Amino acid sequence: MIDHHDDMDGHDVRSYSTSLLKQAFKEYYFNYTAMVEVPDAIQEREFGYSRFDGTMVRHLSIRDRNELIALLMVNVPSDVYCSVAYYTSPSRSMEEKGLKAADLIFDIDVKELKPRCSSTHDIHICAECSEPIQEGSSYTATCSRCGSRRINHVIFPCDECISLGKREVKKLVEILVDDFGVDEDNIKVYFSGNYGFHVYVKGRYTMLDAAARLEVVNYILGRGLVDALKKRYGKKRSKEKKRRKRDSKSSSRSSNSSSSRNSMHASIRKGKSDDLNSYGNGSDGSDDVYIPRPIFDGVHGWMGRIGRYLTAGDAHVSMKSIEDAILALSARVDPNVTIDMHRIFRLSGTLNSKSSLAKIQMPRLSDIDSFNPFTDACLISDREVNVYVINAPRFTLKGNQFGPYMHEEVRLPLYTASYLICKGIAYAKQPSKV
Amino acid sequence: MSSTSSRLLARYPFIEDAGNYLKLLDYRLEEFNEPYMGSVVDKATKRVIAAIKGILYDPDEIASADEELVSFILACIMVKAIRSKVLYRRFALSEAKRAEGFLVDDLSSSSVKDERDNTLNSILKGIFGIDVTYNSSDGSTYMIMVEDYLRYSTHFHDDYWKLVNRVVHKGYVYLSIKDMVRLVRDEIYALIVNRLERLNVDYGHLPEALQKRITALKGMTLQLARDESKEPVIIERRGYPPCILNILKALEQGNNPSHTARILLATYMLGIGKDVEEVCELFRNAPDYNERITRYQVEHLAGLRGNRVKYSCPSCSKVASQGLCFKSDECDGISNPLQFGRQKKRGIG
Ligand code: SF4
Ligand SMILES: [Zn+2]
Ligand SMILES: [Zn+2]
Repeated sequence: MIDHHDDMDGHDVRSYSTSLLKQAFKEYYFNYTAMVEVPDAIQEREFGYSRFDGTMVRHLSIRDRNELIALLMVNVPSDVYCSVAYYTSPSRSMEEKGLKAADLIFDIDVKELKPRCSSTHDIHICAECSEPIQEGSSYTATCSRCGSRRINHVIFPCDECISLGKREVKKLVEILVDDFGVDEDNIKVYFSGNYGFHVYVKGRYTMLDAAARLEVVNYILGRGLVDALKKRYGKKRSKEKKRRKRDSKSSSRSSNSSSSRNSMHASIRKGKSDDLNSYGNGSDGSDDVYIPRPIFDGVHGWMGRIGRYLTAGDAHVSMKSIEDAILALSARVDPNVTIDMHRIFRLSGTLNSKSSLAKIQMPRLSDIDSFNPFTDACLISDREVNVYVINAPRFTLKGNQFGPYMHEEVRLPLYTASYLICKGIAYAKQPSKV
Repeated sequence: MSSTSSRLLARYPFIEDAGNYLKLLDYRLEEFNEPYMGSVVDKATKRVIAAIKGILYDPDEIASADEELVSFILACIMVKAIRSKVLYRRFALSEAKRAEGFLVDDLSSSSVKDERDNTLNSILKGIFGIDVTYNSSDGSTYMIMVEDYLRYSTHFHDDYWKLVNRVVHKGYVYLSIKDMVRLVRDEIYALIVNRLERLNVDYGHLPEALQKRITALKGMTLQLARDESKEPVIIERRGYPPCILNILKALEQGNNPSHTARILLATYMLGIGKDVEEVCELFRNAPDYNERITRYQVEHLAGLRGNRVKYSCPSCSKVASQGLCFKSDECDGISNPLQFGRQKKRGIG
């Protein structure tokens, strides 16, 4: 986590920082036991945790709340996980666990949404010597100090990034409720503790197998809609094109616009495909497919959703505008997470070692807008400690502004110090005093 | 038998478990030697002939419900006695198609409400566990729960069946009658195969009248087996891992699996001990089947050609990275599809 810095003994720096973090996590688990979620059917779950030395323990079964809290207090893990699945024997080996069901889960990773604000707040530091890299792109940069090309990208989420994630959550919830008929009470939304959101669906869909989960996640992503539409309407179009060619030949011969209706349609369509070309899409427009507008009207499901999004009135809709609609309306979840029923997933109420923020649940779906992870999930104490910060932008935690910092020793509240140590851009220079 | 249940049994005789067939005959098999039994034995024979010829058994006069059921059971007995795998499949397919016709008919909006409800309850709910709601606002539409839909639709590979291309609303998938029936058609086929497998009669002591027919049908079946090389292959589907099943399904439906999928299927089948011949056979249904090329490729994978390296079946993680893994809980704890079914059995539930 902490890279060697040339004026320090790397080993000590690492162990000072780790013990400071461990101390911070321990205090959290001591003060906030009530935050730790006791999952339903706890005895059917597999638990696992990581230690600060990077090792991991899996296949644990836990009897009850007390045993869970004891595990946290005694081991002070860096990360704690619980299976999404319910097993007959959770502590046995994979082939003997006996899968009974699994929560249907969705993972929304803000990083995958490629927020535009990233460039304004993320930083890059050299993985070898911790030198801050000023270049915008981490792919082309080289460390000016040691010449290394191994660059760490450190994310400093801002409110804007978080709102992007919230928007995907809301779209997901809408599809789950409207299309899948999931009761809002069966949808649980969590901030992941770092840079994303987790959504759990309980109830009837916990019985789906992996192939069915793949279908559900493809539905939510709108994957496969475009292909099917192309298949269905693509051929017709090429017939139409031939007819149009014929029409234009005959009309040039007679130079008389007798088939005015057709040629008008053709020119509208032509205008559209020219538009597409000007956006750099669809080359000669030969693979554009135009779809009759009415098929989107007054129907349920995806087609209806697209129909409500598109502007009314047009006789045909271009494939491009359908693709845009799908992009805007689908919820961008990570498909691999949803189809993996054997995954162990971060336990709510525990700390995320990438940030030292807690994974926490939104009490009500309607609270999502007012939810602020940098306050609501920042639960480490505010006693002050000294840390050395390599580099950090300006950021806000618990309503207080910090940074920017550049190679300096700073006295910071423990929650901020942990936040920076977790991100690998700060370390403790001396043993922490308890 | 009440009239509704006898009507159902006449149309869908396979809903009754094979264990009851002889009991249902209600008389001992010798009675079929009696002249008054001639017509029902004829009917049974016609059913088998229809299967052999690949045509629909569609008698001119509708027999009594009892006669329909009895002729089905007798036909099953004859098919079993003939002992031909080809005929087995043909018969199941033919009877499944026949049932499909009845289902479409029973579920159509013009059918009597009671009959529709009966079929919905006994067949779709009773046998396949699918709760079907008739959506009266639109006569041609049925609604089934998303999870019921997915249980069957995930076997299909065509885009048409992808959930994203269906009307999904408030937890239900909306289906036309045709699609509703298509969804369970393969299951009806599998059910009839199962009935045949579980039917046990003393085949050495069948009545003379049946025996005579069986001998005649055997001759026709032999011809069928000879012609079979031109027929689509229906692939045995038990005991394969989900990734393989999916490819087999695709082939069965005449779809074109990707190149990587074909390699997976071929290496898997070679791995479980099938020979080149048998593996080539699997690809015969592919729309772009070319016997020479297929054989060449399979022989190559089997290490009979080129650098003589035998290609082994890719690991589960490789298969997953190719998007071909459809892991089910039966895949627990295996790292290669070849290990499927060999791991220790454990109870689920
Ligand atoms: S886990 Fe392995 S055997 Fe099971 S479906 Fe995936 S690839 Fe096939
Ligand atoms: Zn460097
Ligand atoms: Zn941001």
